[in-house]
Amino acid sequence: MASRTASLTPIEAAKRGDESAFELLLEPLLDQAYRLACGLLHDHQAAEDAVQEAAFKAWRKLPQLREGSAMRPWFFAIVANECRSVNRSRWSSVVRLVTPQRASEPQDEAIVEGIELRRTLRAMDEDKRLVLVLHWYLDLPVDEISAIVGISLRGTETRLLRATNELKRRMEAYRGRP
Amino acid sequence: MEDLSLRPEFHRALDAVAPPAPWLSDQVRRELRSRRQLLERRGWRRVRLGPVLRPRTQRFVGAVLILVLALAAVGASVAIYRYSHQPVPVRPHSGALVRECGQGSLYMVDANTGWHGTLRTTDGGTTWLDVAPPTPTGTVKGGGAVCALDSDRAWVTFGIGTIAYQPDHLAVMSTADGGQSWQQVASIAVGFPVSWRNNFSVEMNFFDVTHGWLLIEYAATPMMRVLFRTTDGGTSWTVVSSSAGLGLGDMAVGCSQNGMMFSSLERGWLAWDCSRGYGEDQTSNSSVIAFTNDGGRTWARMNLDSYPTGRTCTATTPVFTLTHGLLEVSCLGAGQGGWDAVYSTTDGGQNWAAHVLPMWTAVDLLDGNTAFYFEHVGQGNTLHRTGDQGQYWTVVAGGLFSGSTVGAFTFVDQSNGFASISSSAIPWWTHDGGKTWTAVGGHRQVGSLTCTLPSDRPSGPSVTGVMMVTSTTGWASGARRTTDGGATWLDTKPPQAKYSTSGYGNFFLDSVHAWVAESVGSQTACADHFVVYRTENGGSTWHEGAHVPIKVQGLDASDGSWSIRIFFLDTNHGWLRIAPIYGLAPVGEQGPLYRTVDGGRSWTFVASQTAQAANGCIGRGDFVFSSATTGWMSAGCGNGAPGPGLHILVTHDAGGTWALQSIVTNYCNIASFPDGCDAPLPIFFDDSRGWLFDPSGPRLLMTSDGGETWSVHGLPQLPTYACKGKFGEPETCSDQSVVSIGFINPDEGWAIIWQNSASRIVRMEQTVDGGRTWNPVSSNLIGSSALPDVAQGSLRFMDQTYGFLWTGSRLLKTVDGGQSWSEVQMKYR
Repeated sequence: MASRTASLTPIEAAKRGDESAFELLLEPLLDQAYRLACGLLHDHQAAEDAVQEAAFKAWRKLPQLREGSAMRPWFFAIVANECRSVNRSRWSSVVRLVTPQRASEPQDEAIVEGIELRRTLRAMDEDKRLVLVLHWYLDLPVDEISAIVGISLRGTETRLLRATNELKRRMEAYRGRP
Repeated sequence: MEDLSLRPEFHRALDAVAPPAPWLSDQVRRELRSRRQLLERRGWRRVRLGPVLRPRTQRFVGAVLILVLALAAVGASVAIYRYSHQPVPVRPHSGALVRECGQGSLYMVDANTGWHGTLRTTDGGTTWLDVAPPTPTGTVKGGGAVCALDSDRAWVTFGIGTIAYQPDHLAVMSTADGGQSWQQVASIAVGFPVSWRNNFSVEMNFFDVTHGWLLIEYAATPMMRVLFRTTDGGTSWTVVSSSAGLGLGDMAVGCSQNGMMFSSLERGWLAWDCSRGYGEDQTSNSSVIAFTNDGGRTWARMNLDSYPTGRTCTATTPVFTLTHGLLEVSCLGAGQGGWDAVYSTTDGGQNWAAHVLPMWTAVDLLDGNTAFYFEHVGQGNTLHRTGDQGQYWTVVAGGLFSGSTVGAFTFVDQSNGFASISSSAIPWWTHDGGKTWTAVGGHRQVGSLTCTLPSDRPSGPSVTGVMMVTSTTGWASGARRTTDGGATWLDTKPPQAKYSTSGYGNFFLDSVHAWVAESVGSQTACADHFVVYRTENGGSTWHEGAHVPIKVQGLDASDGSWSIRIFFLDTNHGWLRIAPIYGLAPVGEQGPLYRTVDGGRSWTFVASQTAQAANGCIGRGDFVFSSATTGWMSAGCGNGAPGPGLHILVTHDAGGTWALQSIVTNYCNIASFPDGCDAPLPIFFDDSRGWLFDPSGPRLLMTSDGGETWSVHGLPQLPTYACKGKFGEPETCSDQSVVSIGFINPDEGWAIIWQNSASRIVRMEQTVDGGRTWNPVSSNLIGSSALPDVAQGSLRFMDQTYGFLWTGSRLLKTVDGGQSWSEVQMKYR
């Protein structure tokens, strides 16, 4: 930790237009934000664009960040919204074929598991996909997920539980379990 | 799919679509500045501009350049191919069968002995012991590989460095006695900088006890592949080939390594799995096997007949019986279903013939002539076998594992084998060549449920979770106990409860009093109770407490996996919190809290959803009590509600209700933790005096009024040093980490601090005034690079002279107040 003295906190300084303070706040979040976008979009180039766009929107909306609120859930919520926008524009003008494939025959689990989990995720609605990626991939605590998705802690737990159960059912159905 | 695999499955599946983006930070910064400048000129009108070349365009140009270079390399590749494709004699192995040594997959040497990574079984897979060597100093994630040659000989590698997934060299260790003892035999420099975890991998293969190869693959642009060879059992390694990508160019770029094997000292194979890796669509139309005929100096792609086009494929390395060999290729493709083939050779691998299989689920290659595959038919599975390299297949049995699919299976010999079934957490075995299969051990069936059996109860030779309580007596996880200062450890655990399931916790109060908690089931449930055993004589005898129903509201945890935390204030007052595990971690902070006032004989339900406080804070993890009524629990305070400060939950009614306590509000690095910090748990000397260390400050806090108020005490300070800032500008850095602190009373304590400067200072200091002043202790700990990984709370002094430091794998002891430390050689009996 380098010694720095400043009378303002980085958030306060960034809100007042200090660009380097904003970058200082943003930089530690970019890697996870990128992984979040990759987890939602499954397209790393689109994910990069989404994070970049979210960063710009975050800078413009920074004054809206409530006093005392955390930067990470706030920024991740913007990233998630950006990914929703990317998804909507992508499906309306398909660039490349990513049609989920329904397997017509059983296949080796070890070979298809990664692909199949991604397919299953893509088949689920955006809200459930978001909590699954936040919990199982980014390993965020439920209270922070609650802040990102904007619902109560209890509601988040319920959504996470239901989404996980749905994911399991879909995976099990694919794999031929009763 | 089992719950326990969900988190790693997510990481495997989504890491594959999150390739490295080390440029992202710079790219975002550049773009932000560029767009801000434009906005300043044009006002707040939304624009979308970028640098002269957008990142995608830059990558496109880069790809074109790579293509040009690749074309230039084609001529050289053709020459290499012609050279390497000339026939060479296959030198017979000392045994008839040659296959890849056991990597991470399950590898049975015979019907009794087998390996699964560093797990080893000697009873046919019923029980597995982790025989991994102690982790070498400086180990980081990434760079690990395992090669088990036979029942006794194995080699492992560890990545060594300072940053996870970016090892700068590899430590090679070997065992010749089935993992009872390990020796570090070599250190191999990686030789080039690496980053990101997905595209750095290590493969290791031993042909016999002396000859081995080790491949470092780093998927970058261009591909980096460096192959080493040893002829003395791994002691010395020389580079066989370091030509860019072994001369294979971008072959299998984006795919995961799937094995390396040598069938002779000259001929070897590399295989890749393109359904895994760090890209999604990167691998259609690409070969996935390469071979060498000159001991690894030159490599060429292996072109197979009938190889499908436009699909994503995976290959295994071959299995040989003398000159007869088999390998498997399986492919996926959008809208085309699966494709699978067994390839056979009769000339040591020069020519291969394809045998395309019908609908398949899993294939096993037993030797160079014999293979099996399961076909999913209706609700069941049919097992097929060939003994003539795939020309003719016969049905061994049909209707197997009805309603389930076979994930993977392995035959140990012509009669014995086992299979992983989708509906079972444990393997099923056959002893008649596959005609009949049975599940043995390791599970319990309750109706349609397969109950998870204990996997969290510490076992194996490694001693973990060491806590010394006197100069001679200590405990370790699993109720192991020492009475000779940590040299020998004896198993003193209580008998396992009937219907015991996953869910274990223990607590050691002093040299003789200890408690072990387990979750247990019944004939009708996997796990719906917990039971606590207590000992008052150091584990000589244990008393079984009452079986207490587990009450969890609104959560189905019928598969019976629990996380148990237990704490005792004294020999009578104790608390237990049990939380359902969903996946790999307790979820929902829903764990109920129970309390005992009679030493654990009986327990009463205290709170259903533990420690739900105001301000959005919830209790999680560990807890401590300083009196029969007052206790603390770690708090999770996301959502920004409480604001900056050091937060903890406190109860004054023995756990019934919990409230948020912000211990200090003007500390806790606001830049890093704008929501405040979750306080670590305090440690109390009695019901009024205690201390707490906040690593985020770092701050040492002390209380003398039972935790009502806390005052900041001092910590040792290391000198500042010159460093470079974010953009390379010179700065003065003052960072230091407090490795561990230990107090024997409110005044006397010790601290180990560490500084990540070039000289990596480690210093031990002592206080006799509660941390107000600290004085260096001349200690031989200085310079120990292993110390920064030590967990808080692992430094324990018994008095002014005796002390122990548990590093997580090593126990250090001092008898002179910390001046000299020596390692205790621990043995588990």
